[in-house]
Amino acid sequence: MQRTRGSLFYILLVMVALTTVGVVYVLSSQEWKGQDAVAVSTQDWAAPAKKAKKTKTFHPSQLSANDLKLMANAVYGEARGEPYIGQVAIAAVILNRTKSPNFPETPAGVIFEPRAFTAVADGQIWLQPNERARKAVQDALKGWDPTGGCTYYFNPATATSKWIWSRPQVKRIGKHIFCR
Amino acid sequence: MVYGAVSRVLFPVAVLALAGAGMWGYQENTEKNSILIKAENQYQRAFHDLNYHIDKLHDELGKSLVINSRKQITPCLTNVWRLAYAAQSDVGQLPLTLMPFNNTEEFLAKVADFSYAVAVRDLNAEPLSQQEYKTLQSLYKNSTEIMKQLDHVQTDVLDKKLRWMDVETALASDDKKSDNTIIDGFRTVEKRVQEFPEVDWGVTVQSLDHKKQQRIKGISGRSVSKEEAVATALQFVGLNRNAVKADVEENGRSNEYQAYSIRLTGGPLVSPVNLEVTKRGGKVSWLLNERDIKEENLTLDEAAVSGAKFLQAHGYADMVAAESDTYDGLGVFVFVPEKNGVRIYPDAITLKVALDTGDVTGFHAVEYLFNHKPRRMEKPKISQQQARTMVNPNVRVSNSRLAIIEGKKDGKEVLCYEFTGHLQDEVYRVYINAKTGDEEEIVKLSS
Repeated sequence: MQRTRGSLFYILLVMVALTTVGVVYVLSSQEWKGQDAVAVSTQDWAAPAKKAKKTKTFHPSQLSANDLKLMANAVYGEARGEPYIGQVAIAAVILNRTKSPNFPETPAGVIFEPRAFTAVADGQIWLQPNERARKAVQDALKGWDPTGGCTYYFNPATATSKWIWSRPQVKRIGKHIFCR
Repeated sequence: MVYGAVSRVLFPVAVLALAGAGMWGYQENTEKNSILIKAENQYQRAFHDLNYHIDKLHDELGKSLVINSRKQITPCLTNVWRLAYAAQSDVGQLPLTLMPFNNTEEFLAKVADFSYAVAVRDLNAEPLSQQEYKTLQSLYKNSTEIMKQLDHVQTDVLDKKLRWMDVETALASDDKKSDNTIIDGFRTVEKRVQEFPEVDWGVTVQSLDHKKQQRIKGISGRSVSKEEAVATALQFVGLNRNAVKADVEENGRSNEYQAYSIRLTGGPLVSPVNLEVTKRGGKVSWLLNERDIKEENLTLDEAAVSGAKFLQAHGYADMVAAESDTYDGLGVFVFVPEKNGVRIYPDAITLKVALDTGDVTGFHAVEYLFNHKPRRMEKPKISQQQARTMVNPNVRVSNSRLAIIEGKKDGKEVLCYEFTGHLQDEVYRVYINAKTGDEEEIVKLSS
C-alpha cells in the first residue's frame, strides 16, 4: 500500500516536470512575436473605407494594396512612437530609395535589404500597423516628403555606425535625423 | 528521515529537469545552427551571383566593342542592361547597407541606364556615335577593374572558407578596427570606382542628373528670414500670430531645396499643422494637417470644387483637377493649370480635401514651384485627327485635349495630344507628340 502511494507520487511529479518543460518550450518558441503582438487589434484594413456617395476616381496606377501594407508595416515597426510627420518621413525615405540608383528598385527590396532597417532585423516589422502608419504611407505616395529627398535616417541615441554620421544631415524629426 | 524523504522526491525531479533542459537546449542549438546556415547560404548565393553577373557584364561590354553591325548591338546592349540590373539587385541582398559601396552601385545603375537608352533607340535612324563608342570603351575598362577586384574577394571567400555572417558581426561592431577580408575587398572595389575617370554618360543620363542639380539650386527669388517665413505660414493657414505656437527649424544645406520647417500647434488648431516655406521666394511648398476625419458628408466632386476655391484664394488661379483619388475620408486631387485648353502637367499641385468639412488638410506644390515658368504656348504642327490615327486602333478613345508633359527620354517638356481611352475595361492615357506624331507616353489609370 505504502509503495503504491509512493510511485503514484513520483508519476505525478514527472507529469508536473514535463508540463513545466513543455510550457517553457512553447513560450520560448513564441518569443519572436513580441509583447505588442499579443495586444493586436483585429482591424480589418484591407476593406475599403465605407463610401456613402461613391464617385469614380481617376489617377495613375501606383503601388499594389499589398505593397502599401508592407510599407505600413515597415513604417509602424520603425517609427510607431514618432509624430505623424516623422512617419510620413520614413515612408518617403523608402520611396526615395526606390528611386535612387544606390538602392534596390522595389519597396520590398529596400525594406528587406540586409541591415537597412532595425525593425526588419528584430522582427518588429511584423507588428500589426495602425491606421496612422497606413495614412503616412498614402501621403508619402502622393508626394509629401518632409525630408526633402533624403535616403538615410538614424536614431542618434542608438546608431552604431560611424559612417552614417558622415552623411550630410538635412533635419531632425522626433527621434530621427534624416540625411542624404 | 525528513532529509531522506525530501531527497527521494527532489532527486528524480532534478534529474528529469536536467535531462529536459539538456534536450531542449540541444534542440534549440541545432535549430539555430540550421537557420544560421540558411542565412549564410542566402548571402553566399547573392555574392557568387554578383560575381557571375559582373563577369558576364564584362564579357558583353567587351563584345559590344567588337560588334560592327547594328543588328547585333541591340541584343548585346540589352544583355548589358539586364546584367547590370541583376548585379545591382545582388548587391541589394548583401549586408553592405551601412558601408560605403554607393559609388559602385551608382556605376552599375548608370551602366544600365546608358545601355538601355542606346539599345532601345532606333539605331538605323541614329547609329552609335563616336562619343558613345568611347563611353563603351571606358565602361569596359572600368568593369575590368571591378571584376578583377571582386574575383580576388571570391577566391578568398572560397579558399579561406570565409563566412558572410562574420561580415555582419564585423559591421555590427563597426568602430573597432574591423579586420575582415570581405569588407576590405569591397572597400577596395569602392575605392577603385571612385578613382574612375569621368564617364560621358550621354544625354539621357546627364539630363536627369542635371534636373536634380537644378532642383538643389532651388527656386528663384529673394531670401526670406525665419520671421518672414512664419508670417507667410500663418497667412497661408489664415491664423493670427498670437493664436498659435509656431516652431521653426532651418533645414540643412544639403536639402533638395532650402526651406524652413514650421509646426503650428495650439489655439484653434485641433491637431498640429506642418508646413515648409522655401528660403528663396518664401513660398509654402507643402502643408500637412494631422487632423482625423469624421463622417463623410461631401462627394468627390464637391470636394474638388472646394479644393479649386482654396487654390484660387491662395494665388493659384485657373487650375483644374486632373486626377482624383480617395482614401480614409479624404479626396486627393492633382490640380494642373489649364491655359487655352492646354493642360500643363509639370506644374502640378496635390491637394487633400477632408470629406467631412471640405477643408484642405494637405497641400503639395513642390512640382509647381520648381517647374512653373512663363511659357510661350506653341501651336501644334499636326491636327487632332492626324494624331488620333497614331493611337492604337484597338483603344476606344473617349476624350482628347492638348497637354504639356515631361518627355520620357530627356525630361524636356513636350506639347502632346492627350487621348483618354479604354481597352478591355482598363483606362489609359496616350500622349501623342503634337509636332512629330510620336507616341511619347502611355499612362495606365486606375479608378
